[in-house]
Amino acid sequence: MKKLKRQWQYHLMLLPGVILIFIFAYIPLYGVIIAFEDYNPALGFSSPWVGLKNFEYIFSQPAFLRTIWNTFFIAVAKLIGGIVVPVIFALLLNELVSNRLKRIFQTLIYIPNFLSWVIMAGVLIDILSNTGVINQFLGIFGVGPVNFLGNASIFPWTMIVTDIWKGFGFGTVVYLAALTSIDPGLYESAILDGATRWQQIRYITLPLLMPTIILMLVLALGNVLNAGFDQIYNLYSPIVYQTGDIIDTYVYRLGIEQAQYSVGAAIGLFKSAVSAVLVLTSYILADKCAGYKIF
Amino acid sequence: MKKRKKVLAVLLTGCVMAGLLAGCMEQGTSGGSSKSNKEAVEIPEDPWDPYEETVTISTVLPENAGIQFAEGDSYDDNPWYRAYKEWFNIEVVNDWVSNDYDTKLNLTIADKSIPDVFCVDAQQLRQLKEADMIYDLTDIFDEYASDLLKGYMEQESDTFETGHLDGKLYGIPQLSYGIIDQPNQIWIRKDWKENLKLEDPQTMDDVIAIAKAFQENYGGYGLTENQDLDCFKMLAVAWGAHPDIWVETADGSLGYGSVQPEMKEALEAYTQWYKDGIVDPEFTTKDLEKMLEGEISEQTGVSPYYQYWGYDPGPSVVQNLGTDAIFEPYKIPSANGEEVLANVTFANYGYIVVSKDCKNPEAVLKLLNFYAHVMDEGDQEDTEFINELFGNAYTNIPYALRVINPDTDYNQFIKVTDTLAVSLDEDPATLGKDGVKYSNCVDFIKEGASTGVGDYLQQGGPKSAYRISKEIIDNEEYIRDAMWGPQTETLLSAGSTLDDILIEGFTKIIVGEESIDYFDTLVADWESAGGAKATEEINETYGNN
Repeated sequence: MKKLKRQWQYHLMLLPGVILIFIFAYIPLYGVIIAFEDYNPALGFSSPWVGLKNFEYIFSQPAFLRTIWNTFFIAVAKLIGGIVVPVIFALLLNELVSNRLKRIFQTLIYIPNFLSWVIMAGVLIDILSNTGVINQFLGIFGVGPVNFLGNASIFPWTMIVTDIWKGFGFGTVVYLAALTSIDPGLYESAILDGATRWQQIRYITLPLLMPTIILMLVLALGNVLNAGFDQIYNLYSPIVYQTGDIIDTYVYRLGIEQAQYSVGAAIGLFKSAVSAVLVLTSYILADKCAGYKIF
Repeated sequence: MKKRKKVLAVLLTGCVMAGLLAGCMEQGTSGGSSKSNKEAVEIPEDPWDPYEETVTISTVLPENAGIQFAEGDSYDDNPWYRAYKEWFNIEVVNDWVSNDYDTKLNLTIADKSIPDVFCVDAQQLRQLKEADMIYDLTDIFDEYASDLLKGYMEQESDTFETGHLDGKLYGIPQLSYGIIDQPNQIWIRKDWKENLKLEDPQTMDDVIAIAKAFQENYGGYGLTENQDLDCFKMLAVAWGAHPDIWVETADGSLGYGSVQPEMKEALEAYTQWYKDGIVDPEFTTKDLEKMLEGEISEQTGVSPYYQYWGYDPGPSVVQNLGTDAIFEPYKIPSANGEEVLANVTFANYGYIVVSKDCKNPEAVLKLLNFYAHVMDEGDQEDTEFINELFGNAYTNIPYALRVINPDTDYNQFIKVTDTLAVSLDEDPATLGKDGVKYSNCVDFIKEGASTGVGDYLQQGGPKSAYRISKEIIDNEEYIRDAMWGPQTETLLSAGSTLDDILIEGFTKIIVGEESIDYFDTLVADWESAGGAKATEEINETYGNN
């Protein structure tokens, strides 16, 4: 209570955000009852109650389980790649002596981040086609043509690599910022002790970068069941449903294209439940393994 | 300190409450915006006489990019709405005009702020009836519909029946421009075919020979295709298969055309073509638009396609490659020597429903009568008046206020081609509402205008889609979808999921990921995912036994 007295200004500033979240995120929670009804828009929330029928239906669909696996696989791979690649790039850029060059690279790799997937998909379809730049390049070495978007065993990797490529500029900038905050004195004393470049990275840079990495990881974990709807929706096709169809694209085809609100809501609810468990687990893990806490 | 906090809390609570209330109140007022006309107005005796007092009818419609408004015209003020006012003293107002009609309409229904008259699909019709929000039109239709309008319904009595729920008419079906627009053709590039001195194709082997000849001489690939296998499905009729429609099977019961043994045969042949490099090797990553780009960039000269090739991609082809590069339609020939029957599905654009709150529902019938009158008996009216109504794609404005004569396109085709055969210099005005089609065809024939290529290839040309389709209809070389009406429950909820399974499986077979025997596994998968249940329902609803 005493604390509250001292910090009431902060709480006041917090209030509008809390109210907004309450209105737009908590009150609409009531809508999840759609998942247990045979929803008829004309009847609204008083549509006939069907209990778990919608859930029985989605679990009876052979395509449903594979979408969960695909979502999980693609999302986790993107998560890992989305941390490893920017960290490596940040370290490399940090070693550049020319500040000008550093800025130029930083800007160049950040640009794709600003393009929407709708535009990006159009570009990628051309680049990755059988007669596209990449396949022409591979052709020089007698490889291919590789059907990056039309081969079910390659498609998920295409998604992972292109997504990392598009997004790693942002991560790199964050890690570069974290790197500049490391006390140069540490490196100086390490050099005096005869540490090599590699040893400096291994024993100074990485440990000090760890809190940022874990923060980024925990923030990303909330999205572990979002494998990237706008990317995949714009690039996939029936031939790659086997490995490329994710929960969100499945919900879209099932729920929105056919206006089956109840089934869509049921899958959405299921996804939220699984996400909640995953986020909780990762939070506990982050606390246990790295001593990191948000709250 | 404590006091101040209390004041603050009260203040903030007040703010939140005010915000919430404002939100509620707004909702309260928006619902009743157009319901100013609460009292029923006396109905004049003669059906074509105006009301004494102005009747206001509210409606909603989708935005249509094709409409080219003349100066001063808009969705709210246009020749149609002015005619309604002048003829009947009925004022039609738009509650909204949206480019996302379906979503907006679903929201409007959920919000219970529906307009007096609007257009819905079969599912919404059922939902609205269940919620008791729409008018039972049985008596009103009997009393006020013109003989012309009743004639359409008699002609399409099956479709009329689907507007009835529990034996009562709740939705008046809008019908369609006719089944003549349904058969598909094989479109072949004109100048390439002439340059290589190739004959018109009589068999499927001829088609393949043409595709191969084009490939040898002009590169690229033989046949277009896209990831939804649209082209394959159009060609399948050549093997006696009928994908996407319900047909009578060998044992007399109804079955889904896409899973019948004929489909396996078609698939086997098509797989071989893909292997031989005739079908576009990259079709799996192309959508329809991407597929059409292949025609504009001269990658291919043969495309199984819909009757509207001339409208899309026609104009782009003419603009980029010239008038000789157009593709011309040919009837899909047989692949096994047997008669080819085109697929014809149940065609109805939507159902016109009237809100229970509408005080003068008979006014809607008057407006429907008006549409039928100017459409079919327009020659009795002033030419300028008719041209005003039918020019600039204005026919899309009375979106919920029209029932279409199901012979429209058929009759139009005869009229346009007969006039073209006589002369290219007729006055388009003598053709009434079909004058525009005629003059577009003339423009293409005389000057190769890219704006006319659509009408030319659909109707006016010596090789035109409707010329082929008219023959198919006159000779009854088509098979009707056994599901002649709305979808059954499983299809409504799982229809697209079921089709997804098949498309995915067919694609795997075509590209060689699975052998042709996978077809049987696929059919079993389809059945267990809901296909068996759907078949059962279809037999119950539409079967004979």
